[in-house]
Amino acid sequence: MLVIKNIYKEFNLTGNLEDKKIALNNVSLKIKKGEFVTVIGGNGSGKSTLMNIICGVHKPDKGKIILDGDDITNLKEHQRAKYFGRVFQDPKQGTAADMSILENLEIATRRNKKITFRWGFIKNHQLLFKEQLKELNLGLENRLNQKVGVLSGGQRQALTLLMATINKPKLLLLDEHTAALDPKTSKIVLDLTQKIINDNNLTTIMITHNMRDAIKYGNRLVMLHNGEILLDVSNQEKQQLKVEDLLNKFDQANESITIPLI
Amino acid sequence: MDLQAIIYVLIDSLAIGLPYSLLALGIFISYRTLDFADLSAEGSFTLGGAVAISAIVMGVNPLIATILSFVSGFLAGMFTGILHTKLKIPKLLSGIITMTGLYSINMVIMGIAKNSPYSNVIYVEDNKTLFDFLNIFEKNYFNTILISLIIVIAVLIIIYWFFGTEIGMSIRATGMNGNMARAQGINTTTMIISGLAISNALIATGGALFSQAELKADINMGIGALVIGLSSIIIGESVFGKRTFKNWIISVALGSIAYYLIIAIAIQLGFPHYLKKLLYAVLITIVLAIPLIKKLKNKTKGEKENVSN
Repeated sequence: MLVIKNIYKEFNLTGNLEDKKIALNNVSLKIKKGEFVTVIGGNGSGKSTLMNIICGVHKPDKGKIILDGDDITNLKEHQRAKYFGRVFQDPKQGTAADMSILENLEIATRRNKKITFRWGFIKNHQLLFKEQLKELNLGLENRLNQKVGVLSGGQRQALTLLMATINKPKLLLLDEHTAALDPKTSKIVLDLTQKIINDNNLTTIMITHNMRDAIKYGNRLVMLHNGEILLDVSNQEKQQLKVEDLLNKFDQANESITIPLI
Repeated sequence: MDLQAIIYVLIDSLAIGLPYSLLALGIFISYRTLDFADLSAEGSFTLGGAVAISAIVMGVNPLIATILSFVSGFLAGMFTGILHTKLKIPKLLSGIITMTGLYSINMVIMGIAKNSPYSNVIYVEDNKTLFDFLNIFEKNYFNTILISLIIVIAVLIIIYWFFGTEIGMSIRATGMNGNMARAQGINTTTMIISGLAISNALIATGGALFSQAELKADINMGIGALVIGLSSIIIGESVFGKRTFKNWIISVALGSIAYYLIIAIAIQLGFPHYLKKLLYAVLITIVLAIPLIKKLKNKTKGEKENVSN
């Protein structure tokens, strides 16, 4: 379904050659329909860059992104949005704070459509939204006209999740979407994520830095390190994985890097 | 102040405040919905006046002249939008570039009607303006106020409708959260360009009405436009509220009338004319500090309550 082919991306913020940082080094990944892939890695492993390249926030220096056979490497972020549902790390990023829950959801329903001068509110949407909000179990169904800004972080992430999946995207992209939440809320949102993915049979990529979550959720695990794929396990093999295995793998990778002496 | 003076002040505030409420609504669109402090306003307000009066002097129907102003402002706003989105020039600078360029363009436009290369001021003279269409009242300024009022109400209705449409909602989302907008498939570049175009179109229309009410356009009429617009928005918001979008835009329109009432009262009380711009500056400083003062007040109130508990 999604083919990531030899992606290479470097960042050079200062323009000095010695400050060059390779974020992704020839990363290739094939994701099949229905897979729920968790991606883990430390800071600077390239996991966020990978996500941003899939979404179109960054353009790769080399390589291709192919979705269902179409090369989407050159599509802009907003042009790809119709294929993807996205939830960000910062709960504030996924929604428009000064707009109501209703308005945010209306915008989300139009993600894969052309926008026109038609009136932005559709009558029978309200009932539909209420039903779907009820599924979240957060009492949001009676607060359609409230501004999103007054919601808590967890509620906003749950709403973003609903917005991301409301018209069944080809791919759901979760970028550490529970990292900013407290452990209890994080669990609620993750379980909700699992439920929505199961109900809609969504292909998903979830970035996380929580190893336990990476093992618990999904049916495939990819570990990134210094811009390269260190580990890629699925199904059975993944189920047997333990946090210690991941830590060992991580340590091995770190040892193999020789730190240059100044 | 005697009664006659008070009535005079009220009428004056309405006559100037109503054209300025289009300016305030235009700045509301750029500043509040797009989060873009757009200095092109200073140029496009004058542009609207220059285009309208020049066209009227050249024999164009005042209504069409006003529509021409709208179009000219639309183009000026598009230009600022393109500078910012396509050439990646910072917001403030994009506005300054348009404003600076418009200064010369406005002089050239005012020159056209006079058959001279440029001009600093142009008068309506014996030509009819938009305000001569209705002659219901004996006193001319009442007709001016009535026509301005009709236009402002019509603009309010159109703005309310527009920002409820799919495109209007997308413009608002773009200004609030660009990341969210792009993730939802909204082309933020197009939205910023069109938002600024509409904003400056309204501002230019405000300029067209203002100059027709004053019977002249001059090169300096736009100086302070952004400050006037922002003050009107904030006064409107804090006095009349911003609970819903409808309430919000009406507050902005009323805000500019309230703003002019304050200025007119100050001048009636003997405030010298040459210090008017200083008054604008002081007023906006006070107005911008209102939210902070409110917060501090609430805080000390809260502390007092805590103590008494």
